[in-house]
Amino acid sequence: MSLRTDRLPISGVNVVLVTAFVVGGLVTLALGHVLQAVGLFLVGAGGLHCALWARRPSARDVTRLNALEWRDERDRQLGKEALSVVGACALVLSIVELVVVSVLALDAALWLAWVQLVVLMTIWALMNSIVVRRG
Amino acid sequence: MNSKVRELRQAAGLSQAALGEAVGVSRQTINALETGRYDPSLTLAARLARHFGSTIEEIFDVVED
Repeated sequence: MSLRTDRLPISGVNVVLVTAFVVGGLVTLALGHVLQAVGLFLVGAGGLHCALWARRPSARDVTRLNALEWRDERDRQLGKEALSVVGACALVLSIVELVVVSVLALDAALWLAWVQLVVLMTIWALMNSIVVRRG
Repeated sequence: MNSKVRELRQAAGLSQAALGEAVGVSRQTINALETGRYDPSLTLAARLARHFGSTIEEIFDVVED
């Protein structure tokens, strides 16, 4: 999926992500989970704001990478370099998560999923900073 | 890779942002090209050459290891 779509105010992947949060929030709200729905709406709104902020002509390169708003070939190269590390870490963490949930028969799998997401997002932001300094 | 992008840009009186806009890349990409931190694609090299009325060989010099 392209991360750069000049016809849209944000990239295609951000359209999908924001839509997922909004639709997820609506469904969650319909199921009566108000707090969780508000959380999803807030995350979606935050993501939309970050994407629009990264689209400014004066935005920094690391800001564009963090927001998945690649502008040119260098952004694409650096973004893919950072995401390849995130992908490798995601594979390892997913396996660790599966083992932990299986061994402990946890009901708290949701918390593990959140921990995994936070760890991956941190690694991603760190890698974006590293690749931007290098290239 | 060594390049003459900076001297050509300055001779043309362009800012990094203006040159980036002219060839379709960000200011940071022009800066990375000028400081040797980024090697352009063939497409971008050709765009820069066309913009300056020059050739890729005249602008970019591959440094052999």
